[in-house]
Amino acid sequence: MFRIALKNILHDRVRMVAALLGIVFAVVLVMFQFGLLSDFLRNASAIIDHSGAPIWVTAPSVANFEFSGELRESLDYQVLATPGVGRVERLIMTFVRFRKPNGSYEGAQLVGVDLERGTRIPWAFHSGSHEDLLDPESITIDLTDLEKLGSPGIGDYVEVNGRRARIAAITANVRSFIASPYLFASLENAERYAERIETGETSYLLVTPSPGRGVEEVLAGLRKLQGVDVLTASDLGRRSQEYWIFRTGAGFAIGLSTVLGLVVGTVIVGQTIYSSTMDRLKEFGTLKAIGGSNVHLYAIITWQAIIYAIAGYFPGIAASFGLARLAALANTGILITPLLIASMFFLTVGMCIVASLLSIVRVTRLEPAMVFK
Amino acid sequence: MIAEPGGLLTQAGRVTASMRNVVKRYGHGRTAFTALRSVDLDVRAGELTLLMGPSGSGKTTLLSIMGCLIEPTEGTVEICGRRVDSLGERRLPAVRLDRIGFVFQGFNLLSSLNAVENVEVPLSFRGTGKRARRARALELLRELGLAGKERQLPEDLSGGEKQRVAMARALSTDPLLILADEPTAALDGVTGKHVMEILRERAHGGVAVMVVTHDPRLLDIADRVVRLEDGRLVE
Repeated sequence: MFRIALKNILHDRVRMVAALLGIVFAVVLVMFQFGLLSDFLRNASAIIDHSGAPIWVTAPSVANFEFSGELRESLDYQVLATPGVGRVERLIMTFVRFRKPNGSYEGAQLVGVDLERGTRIPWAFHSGSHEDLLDPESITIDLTDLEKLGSPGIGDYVEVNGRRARIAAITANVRSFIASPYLFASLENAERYAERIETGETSYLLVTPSPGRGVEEVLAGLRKLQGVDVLTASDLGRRSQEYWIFRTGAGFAIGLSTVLGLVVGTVIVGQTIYSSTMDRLKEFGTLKAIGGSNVHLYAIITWQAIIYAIAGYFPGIAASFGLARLAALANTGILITPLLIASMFFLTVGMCIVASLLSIVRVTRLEPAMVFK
Repeated sequence: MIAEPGGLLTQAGRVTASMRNVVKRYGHGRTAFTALRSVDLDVRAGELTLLMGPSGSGKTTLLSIMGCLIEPTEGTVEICGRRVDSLGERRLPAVRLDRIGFVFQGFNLLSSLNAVENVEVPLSFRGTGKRARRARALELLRELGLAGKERQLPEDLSGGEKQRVAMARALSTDPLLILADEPTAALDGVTGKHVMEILRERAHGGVAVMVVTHDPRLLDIADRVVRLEDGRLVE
């Protein structure tokens, strides 16, 4: 049946090209949307994921990393006194106004990191390092935000919330989920620039258990503290991701585009396979008449769908990588993972098989006696 | 006794296909139409039977019932001693595949497959291995004078060549019954005669062959002629 399916496809090149274009379009659209979503989700929890701390202490009911609350001064000592806690880092997260060299303003997120306690945040530098942030007035900007922030260079002075700041380092692709760029600074510098954080207050406490102590055991101890939430890093990361997917329109919009891509692909492939089936209706009738069962006919049509899927999948993946590169030039992240590539294969095959169902229904109803008409 | 291509022994004259009191009605109520009326017919091994009759007399319906393509409204049909009139569409394909070979007026070859691949199709339905079915298809094409045409697509073959490919396909499973619907209608006189000679040869080899035709020139090639008029058999 495979040979008949393959020959049917190759015999009608125009139709084959139309179907393949439809599949490539669907693959690219779905890959693009899922890639965009994956990148958004990665960025939504990037700081949490890269912190290295398995436990996060937050203000009550924090919905996502960006919308932090304030934790009182000295809470870090209480946390440190909890049995099993090995290390506590403070982290400040606050929105600020960034004044560009040309005088205009841009919203940004200032992240104060605990350099004294060996923070891992930020995790990638294009130029400079954590040490460069120890100096007063030092902040980072990200390479992908340079243009948005007026293209300042290392050593240039800018303003953050009306106070002077100096670009001391440039991070590499450390990007926020939302449009506001990340600025990293030491805790001391962040306290000076932040408007709503008092000295000693913090947004998050990042907790690492002592060697040999389990996360669950430390969590249980920390949950006795009043007025705070204690979460694992993965729970907080997931909470942040879910917030952006389900409580904003982002997930719906991306999901809708993905479904649209699949629907368009299914319609194009379905229409192609169906018109091919209709053109060959007498041949399918002949196959029934000479002893082919419905199963044989289903096999031919399903093989056609699978061949189309495989033939359209690979150029679709190649085109997706090309598009991801183009998107990167426009500062739009498209995260194409091996899991996405593998899932897309099964999705493409599934889409083509669904597209062939109408043809299968048509040949099922075909009377073999039509061969004499 | 005659050795069949399939290796079985068939007694010449044995009834291969039989219809008893077969009635076929289409539609219901006032639009009902009776295509066949109490038809009794035996088609025997070793015979080439011509089925003739005017248009609308029920020839195609009779052929479709005998070919297990449709079920009769009343009556019984047996193929090789097995009742097939109420087997149902799930079991009939196997009967058609194992017992019956079809030859069509319009050849009905698969346009995307070449000659040898067309002949292989019924064997692939049977699950015959690739090598065996290729060997059988090539043997039949050679036997029917199509050596050198094996890789040609139907669109590159003449009418007579297409019909011989269709006959090779019909013969590939060694059927006991061959049903041919106007096999010479689309062919010139010489080619048509050649096709009929092949069918007669098969009949005399022990296969039951029934040919539906309007062509009176075929009368002298037939072993037996049956006529249908207004759904009734007039032998």
